Amino acid sequence: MKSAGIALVLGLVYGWIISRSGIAQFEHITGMFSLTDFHMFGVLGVAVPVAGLIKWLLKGRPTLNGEPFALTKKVLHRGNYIGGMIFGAGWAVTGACPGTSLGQLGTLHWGAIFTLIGIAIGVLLYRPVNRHVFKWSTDSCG
Amino acid sequence: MYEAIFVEPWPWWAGGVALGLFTALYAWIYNKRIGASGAFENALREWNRPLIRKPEAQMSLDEAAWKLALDQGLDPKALGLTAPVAKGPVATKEFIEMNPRVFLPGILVGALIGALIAGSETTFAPGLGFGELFPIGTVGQSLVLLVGGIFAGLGARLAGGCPSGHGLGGLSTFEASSFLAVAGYFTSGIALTFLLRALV
Repeated sequence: MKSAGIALVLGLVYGWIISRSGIAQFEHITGMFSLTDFHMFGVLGVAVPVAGLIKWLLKGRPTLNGEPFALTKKVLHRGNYIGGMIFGAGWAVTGACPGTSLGQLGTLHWGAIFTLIGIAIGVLLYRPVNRHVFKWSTDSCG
Repeated sequence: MYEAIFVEPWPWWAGGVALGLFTALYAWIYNKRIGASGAFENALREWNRPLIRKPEAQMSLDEAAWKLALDQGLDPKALGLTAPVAKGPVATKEFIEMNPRVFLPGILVGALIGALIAGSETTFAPGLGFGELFPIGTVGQSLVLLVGGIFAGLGARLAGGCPSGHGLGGLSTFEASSFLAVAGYFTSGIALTFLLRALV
């Protein structure tokens, strides 16, 4: 129950931030990729150092669970770039990533229901596609 | 003040601060990088995934070997194993895991609450300029979103993360894989956007 409660609050907060910060708005994504809209660069340009600074200050200190806060790194592999390119194409046409597609639907852009179905298919395709086509030793996210 | 926070879209710097704080909070709670694409797959695929990490999962190799030897009825000292160092309360505590089945619907509901308070309009398109870039009717646009979604979902998992995981989580701790993934997003995203704009 505690696990569900924390996840629910985090989800609600993330959704609300997405709805206010414009990071799920198509005009900001397409403007970022056509290099005509500064918004996304500004958001990420602030968010990354803020998160980095806090994580760096928290390093080794106890987390909510009481274990020391670790900055574990993900496996580096070819898929980071090639998978990133496949992702970028999808991001450019839908304006959505897995997190913000839910934000788009929540902010009453109902076409995002198709994006969501697509993402669900895409993430389920990942294991068979990687097993038979790419064979990378990828690491899971989240 | 109320208008600026709850009704008006936030300026880029405010969105950045909020997302930065959120990214750090998430990492602190779960001792794990934030991620939405992996959560998506877990929510769909692993319904029985345990949401409480047992202390066993936190045991060091020494502790695990020691326990295994005792479980097998052997004397760990005779086997030359190192006695595990007692870690105090941590070893007996249970750890909370992220629950994607609650977190993901939470994002949708949180965004909906934000949009209802702000009085956002209902549209099919995910934002301005979508209809101009794809002047192909609602059915065609639905297909674009569906196929784009498949690319986004598959690509994010192959890349080991989406902009939440790599863009916010990984870049903030200087992860090489994240710089590579973000470079990938921009390679195809910029190329495709310029191509589409040239076509319409």
